[in-house]
Amino acid sequence: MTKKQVHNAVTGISTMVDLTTEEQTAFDNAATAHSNDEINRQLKELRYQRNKLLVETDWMANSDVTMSSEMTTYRQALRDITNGLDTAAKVNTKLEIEDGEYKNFPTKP
Amino acid sequence: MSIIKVKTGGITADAITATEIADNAVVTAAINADAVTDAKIADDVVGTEHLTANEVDTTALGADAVTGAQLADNAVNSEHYTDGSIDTAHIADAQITTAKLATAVLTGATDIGAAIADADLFLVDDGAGGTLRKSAASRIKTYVGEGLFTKITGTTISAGGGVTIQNCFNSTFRNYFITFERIKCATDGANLELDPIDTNGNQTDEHCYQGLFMGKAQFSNNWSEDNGASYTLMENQGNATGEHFSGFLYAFNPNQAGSSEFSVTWQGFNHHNGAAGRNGVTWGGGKTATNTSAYTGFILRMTSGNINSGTVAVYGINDPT
Repeated sequence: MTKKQVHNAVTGISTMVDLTTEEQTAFDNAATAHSNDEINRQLKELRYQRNKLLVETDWMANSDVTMSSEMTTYRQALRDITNGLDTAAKVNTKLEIEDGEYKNFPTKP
Repeated sequence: MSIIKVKTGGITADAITATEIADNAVVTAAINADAVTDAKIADDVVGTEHLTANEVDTTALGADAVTGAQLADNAVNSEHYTDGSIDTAHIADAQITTAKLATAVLTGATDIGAAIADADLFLVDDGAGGTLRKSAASRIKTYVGEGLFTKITGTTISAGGGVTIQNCFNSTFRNYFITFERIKCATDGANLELDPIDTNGNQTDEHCYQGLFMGKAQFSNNWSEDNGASYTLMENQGNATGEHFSGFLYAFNPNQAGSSEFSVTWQGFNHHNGAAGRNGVTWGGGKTATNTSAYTGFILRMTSGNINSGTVAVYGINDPT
């Protein structure tokens, strides 16, 4: 049984008590869901960062601007960055940082 | 001149008067012991030469007969005082200086043994004019200004499924300041949550909030809920060695039930879970649409796994008005 700490501010006393049956069930279910959801959390971060980079170059898609082929390739690589990422470890590899930059992201032309 | 001898029986009693006795004729041998009485000694004729040295004893002195004039200067010392006989009436005003106070007056005093309370008294020199006055400790708060925070409680977190801080919110303070120091989680990527509770230890109110993290490599993350069961202070917390959350939170009106009474804002430094680890800053804020009951405490927990360690402290914010 998992315990929780209960601290009474009036007495200043802390005690460790067992979680109730309902609390224990919720605690265990949360742990399972968290474990199962790891890849989705990492993908959420990856997409968030990818989308920020796309936004930086969105203006080049305006009708009065001619986008270079290098930029087109770069933006497509950003869109495809999640392809084949079927494990959390693979996603983490994409999110690795070196010298303040995402070293496994496409290089901006 | 012929001498006439008279037998003692030939003179009647009281027949010889002073005129029959020549000047200086009566010698001491002719005076019986103890025959000279006080009445035979004229006023003011006994001089100190007629007193044998050390002969005057205390019985020869009338009560209160020795006045200050009979005492030489500096002749009375402490051996002549009865123990405990010197009272304040015999000490002139302003005559006890600090040099006359033993160090033990301060160092030997018993410690107050508790926090100083408003009613406790201090000695002060009124206007530095030498007049001592008492001052209640409560006046110190007026002079220096009351502190912004009053600590209510604090605890070191023991590893477990959460920490419940009970009875820290009440009517004494309207707003609160809460610190979280080195909160470490057991499960990588779990969220840190704060859940206000009522006297029954729970509530089902809905909380609306927004959180934001800014970290290395321009990494940012944000999270929000319109109807959250609790406030998420930090999302995706790292649990590697040295990774933790440290920050603070202001809680406004937790002890007031009603519409939009309770709100929070927080800020912290933490390590966001990530492949390379990310140090950054988290901040956020939110409110509870309706507190169905007054909050008296809160629960701090992770969305998954235990909180392993850290400290939590709650302070009441003193109202300057």
